[in-house]
Amino acid sequence: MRARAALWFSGAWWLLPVAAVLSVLFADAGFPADGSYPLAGQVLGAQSVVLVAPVVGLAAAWVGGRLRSAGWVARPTVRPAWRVWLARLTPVVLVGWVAVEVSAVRGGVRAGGWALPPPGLAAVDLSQLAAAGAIGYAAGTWLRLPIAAPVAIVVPYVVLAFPPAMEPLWLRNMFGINNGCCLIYQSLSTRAVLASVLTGAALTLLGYGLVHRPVIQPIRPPARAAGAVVVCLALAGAAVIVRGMGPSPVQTRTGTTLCRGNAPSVCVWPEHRAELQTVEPFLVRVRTAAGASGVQLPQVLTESISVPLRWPRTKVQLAPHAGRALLQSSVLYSLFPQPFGRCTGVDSQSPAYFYQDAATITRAWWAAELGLSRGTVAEDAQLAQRVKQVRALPLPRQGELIDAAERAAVSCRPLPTMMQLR
Amino acid sequence: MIWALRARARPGSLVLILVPLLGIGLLSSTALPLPHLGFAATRVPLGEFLPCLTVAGLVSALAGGSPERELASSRRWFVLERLFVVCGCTAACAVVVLLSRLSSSPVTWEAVRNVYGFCGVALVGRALLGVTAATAVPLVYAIATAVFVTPYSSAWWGWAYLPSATEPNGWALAIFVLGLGVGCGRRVTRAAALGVVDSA
Repeated sequence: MRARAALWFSGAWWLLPVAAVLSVLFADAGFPADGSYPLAGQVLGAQSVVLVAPVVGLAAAWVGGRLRSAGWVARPTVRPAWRVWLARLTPVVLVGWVAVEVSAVRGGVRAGGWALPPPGLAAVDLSQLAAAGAIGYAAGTWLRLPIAAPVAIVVPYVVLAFPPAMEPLWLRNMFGINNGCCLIYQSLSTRAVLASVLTGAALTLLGYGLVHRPVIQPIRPPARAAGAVVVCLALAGAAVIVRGMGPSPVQTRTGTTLCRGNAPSVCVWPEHRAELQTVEPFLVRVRTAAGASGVQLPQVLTESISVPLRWPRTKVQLAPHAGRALLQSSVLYSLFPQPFGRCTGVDSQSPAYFYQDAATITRAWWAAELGLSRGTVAEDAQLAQRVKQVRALPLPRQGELIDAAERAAVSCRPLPTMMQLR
Repeated sequence: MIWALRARARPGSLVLILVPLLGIGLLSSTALPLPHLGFAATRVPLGEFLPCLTVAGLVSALAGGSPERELASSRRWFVLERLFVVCGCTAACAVVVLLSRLSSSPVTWEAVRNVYGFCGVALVGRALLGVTAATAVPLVYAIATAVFVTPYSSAWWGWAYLPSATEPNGWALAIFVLGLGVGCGRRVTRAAALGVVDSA
C-alpha cells in the first residue's frame, strides 16, 4: 500500500516507461569497440544515464512542485526533514536506476555475456541519478513548475553531457563513466568510480541543503556551514583522486587468462576463448617451422598487460569475431619483440626505423614460410626480393638471420646487411 | 495591461531568460557534446542549444497571469499574449546579436533562428499540453533532435542544428514552426471565460 502510494505520488509510474524506452534505445543503438567484452557493453548501455537523469530530475521537480503548490513545504513536519526528503525522492531515483541498470545488462548481453553490471558502475549510476533527483526536487520546492521543469532537466543534462569536452582531461572522470571504457585488457578504474560516486554524493547533499524548508524548521547555520564544508571537501577529494588520469576511466585489467600450448603458450582473456580455438592449430604450424629453422620464438603470447611485456613475452591482440586470416596476422605480429616506445626517432637512420625494418622483413619471412596469403602481410617489390634472397639460403642460416633481426629489434640497432631494406 | 505585464515579469522567468542569453553571447562557440544514438557524441555549439532555455523562460512567464480574469477582460488576450511572446523573442534576439557582436561570436544567426523556432515549438506544446508543461517542450525537442538526428544531416526535423548560412531551409522551418505555434491553440470565447469566472 505504501509502495503504491509512493509510486503514485512521486510520478514514478509515468517515469518508468519513459526511462525504460530511453534506456533500451540507447543500449541498442551503439556497439562497444570490443564486441565480445561484456563490461564494454555494460558501460555503453549505462550511458543512457545521460538521458534518464534529466527525466528523473523532471519527475523529482514535479514531486517538489506538488508539495510546494499544496503549501506543504512551508509547513512544519513531525518527521525529520531528511526522512520526508528520502521518502519523496527514493521511488523516482530507484525507478530511473533500475532502467539504467537494465540498459547496462542489455548492453552486456549484446556484447556477448549475461552478467550483472559491476558494483562500481551501478554505484556511479545511482549517485548521478540521486544528484539529478535531489537538484530537481530542490528546484521544485522553490520555483513554479514552469520554471523548475527546465532547470531540473537542463542541470543534470549539462552536468552529465559536458564532461567529454572538459579540460584538463582528468576532470572528465569526476562526472561519471563517460566513454573510452573498455578494451579487453582494461577494466573500470577504481579511482574514476570513487571520484564519480563522491561527486554524485556531494551534489546530492547540495540538493538536500537547497530544499525549501518551513520557517520554524530551518537548517541551523552551523549545520549549513558543516554541509558546505563537506560538499567542498568531497568535490576536492574527488578531484585529488582522479588528478593525473587520462581521459578514459580505465585501468589495466588483472585476472586469470586462459593459456594453451607451450613455447610459445598463448594466453587470452576468457571472452576470447572461441578465438583461441582458431589460433591453436596455427601455432602448431609456427612451432614446426621454428623447429626446422631454429628461429627463437617468444615464450608467451598474452592479451594481458598486467605484467610488464619484455622479450620473450609479447602481447597478442585477437579481434573478436574476426576471420582466420586476421587472427593469424595478429599472431604473426606477436611473434616479434615489441619495444613499446623504446626505439624512437624520425629520420631514416633512427632506432624507430631500424625496428620497423626488422619487424617488416621478419613478418614477411614468417608469412612466406607458413604459406600465408599475400593479403595477410603487406608486401612491396623490394621486400619480396629481400625475403626471396633470405629464403634461398639454407634453413639454419635463415634462422640465424631472423634471430639477428629479433636481437636488432630488441636493442634498436640496424639490421644485418643482407636484410636491410634501404 | 501594465498589471498583466507585471504579473508575467516574475524574477524566476527573467533569470531563465537572461542567463542563457548571456551564455549565448559569451560562450556560444563552446561546444556541448550531446549524446547521440549509435555514434559518438555530437558537438553542438552552446549558441544553438541555449535558446531553448531562453524560450522556456519566456513561455514560463505566460503562466504568471490570471487566465480567467484576462479572458474576461475587454482586451484580446489571445492576440496580446502571442504578441508578448514574439516581441519577447525579438528583444532576446537583439540582446543575442548585441552580445555576439561584442564578443565576435560565430553562431549568432543560428541562435536567432533557434529563439524563434523553439518559441514556436513551445507554443505548439502549450496548445497541446498546457502552459505548465510547455516550458519543457523546447528542451525535450532540442535534446531529442540531438539524440536522434545527426547535426548537419539536413533532416528537416533537425532544423535547429542546420548551419544558418548554407541551409536556408532551417530558417524556413523555424519560421513555419513559429507561425504554427502562434496560430494554433484554443481560442476561449469571452462568454465561456465569463462562465469559468462565474462558476469559480
